[in-house]
Amino acid sequence: MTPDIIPFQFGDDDSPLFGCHHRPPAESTSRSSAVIICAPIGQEYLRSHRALRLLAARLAQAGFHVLRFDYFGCGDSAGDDQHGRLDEWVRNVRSAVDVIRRRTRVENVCLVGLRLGAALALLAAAEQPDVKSLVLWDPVWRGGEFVRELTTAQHEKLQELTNRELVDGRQQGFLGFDLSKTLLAEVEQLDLSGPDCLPACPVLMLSSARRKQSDSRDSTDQSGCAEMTLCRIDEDANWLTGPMRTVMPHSAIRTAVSWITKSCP
Amino acid sequence: MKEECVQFGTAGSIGIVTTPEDFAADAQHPAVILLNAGLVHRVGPNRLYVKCARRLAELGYVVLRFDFSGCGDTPPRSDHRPLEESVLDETQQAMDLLHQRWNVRQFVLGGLCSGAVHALRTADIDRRVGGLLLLNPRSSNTQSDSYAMGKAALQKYSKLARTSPARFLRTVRRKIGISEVTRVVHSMLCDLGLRRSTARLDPDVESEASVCGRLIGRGMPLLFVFSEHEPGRESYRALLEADASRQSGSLLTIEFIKDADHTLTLLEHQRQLLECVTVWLEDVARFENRVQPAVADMTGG
Repeated sequence: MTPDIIPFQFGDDDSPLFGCHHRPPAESTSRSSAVIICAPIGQEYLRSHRALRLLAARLAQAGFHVLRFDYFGCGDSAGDDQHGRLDEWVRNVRSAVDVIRRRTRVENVCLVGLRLGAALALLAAAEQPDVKSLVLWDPVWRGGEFVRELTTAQHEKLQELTNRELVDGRQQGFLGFDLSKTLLAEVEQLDLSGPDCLPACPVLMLSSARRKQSDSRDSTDQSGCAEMTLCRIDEDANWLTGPMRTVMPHSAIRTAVSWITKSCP
Repeated sequence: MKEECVQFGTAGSIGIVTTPEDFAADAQHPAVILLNAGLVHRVGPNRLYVKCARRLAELGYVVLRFDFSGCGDTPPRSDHRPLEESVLDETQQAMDLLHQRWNVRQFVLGGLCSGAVHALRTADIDRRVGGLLLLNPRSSNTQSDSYAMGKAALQKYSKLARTSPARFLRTVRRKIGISEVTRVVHSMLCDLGLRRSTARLDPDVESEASVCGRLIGRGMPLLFVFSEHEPGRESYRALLEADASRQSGSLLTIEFIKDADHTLTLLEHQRQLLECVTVWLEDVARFENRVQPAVADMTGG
């Protein structure tokens, strides 16, 4: 029996990226779109791994080729934590689009991004004409808010364990990950909340109801977007809690699979 | 250092093998296999297994990190074997893979939390295992850790109340749930002699300590690393030290990391852990020459 998940490496030989290709069952309807899942980073990456794997499996069951992959300096890909850079990660998303098209000969691609992964998907889609639809799940619209959230969580962890103040958070990383000053500065500059940041292709915006409102873009602002579907999900969305408290957001996964199945040929 | 994806065994286990840049198939080092920490996939909590594998590969070791069936990227098994059997089976298949592809004959198994317990259980049935790296081992029977968890919480909150009363009050108001309060009260009653501590009688910990005793008796070096805030560390330590004193204390190394939490979230604790592991592995490498005849049998059991 052919395995339905194929692990592989792609990109540069000296700094390969890790990917998992979920293939549809042989008997399923052949589709002309593939789905690429853009994961979050750091602790959010660990916490969401099971959920994104389940999402990939459900999409493959629905007939799609699906690629999950790790950015440079993340997960199983080459590079250390401190080597991550925003522009490199956007290039990684584009490499993932290229590699899934080569492996499957599909014409169109749907990008699904969670948290910072949604921001990377949005940035990559802007210059990738074969991206025909986007799912943005609890996206990081403003990088400054994301960095502040990480810093606060790290501060609390440091005090809980050592009662020390956070003099320079980077000395102790960000919830277990050694993110560089350069990366944090790049993320802080990120602002995708403007009216011209959404692409012309169809977009599903999944927004967990329990996330803070400051995290959200103005949901009525759809300028520049051909077709936006907004969906609020009443599920726990604290993606920063430790991996031992992993959540399985079934409603969000069902909604995403249903929308992609209808929107992508 | 090179990394390669592998898919192996009856479960189609997915893993990454990290090898030294100039790996020679006749190298004398044992290979290291890192087992899933609970539900965290093979990168490990805080990507710790990746950091560990790359550091060890720089020192000449082959390291495999892989996912048990139903965890991480490996699909669930279809044969309905219980977890306690399937993890042993899949760990043995991981050793088979490293032997067939990289010609490694001896292994150090390691893991954090449940990964440590699975490493211990596999070593008990397979003589290819020449050493164990056990990080914050936690038994499956976590309920009986109630005393130790309550005790650890009491120490943590007492320290916070002394050093930062305002923050202590905020924490009490916002974060402490009824289950934690119950555990703290239970541990206080145990200390006052009004209740019996179940932790000291935890059958899982006793059983695991007894396995450790057997392995030490077989001449196997063990490294235990405990975080300061680890709930079960005292019961493990007492049992292990009692056992070690009856046999060969030099085979048992126990390290503690001050202020660390279960998954070693702070970078300085991760660095300390990697240091403990690399220093200990050098000792194992010296030790393995002495036990080589005993592990030459590749049939296991």
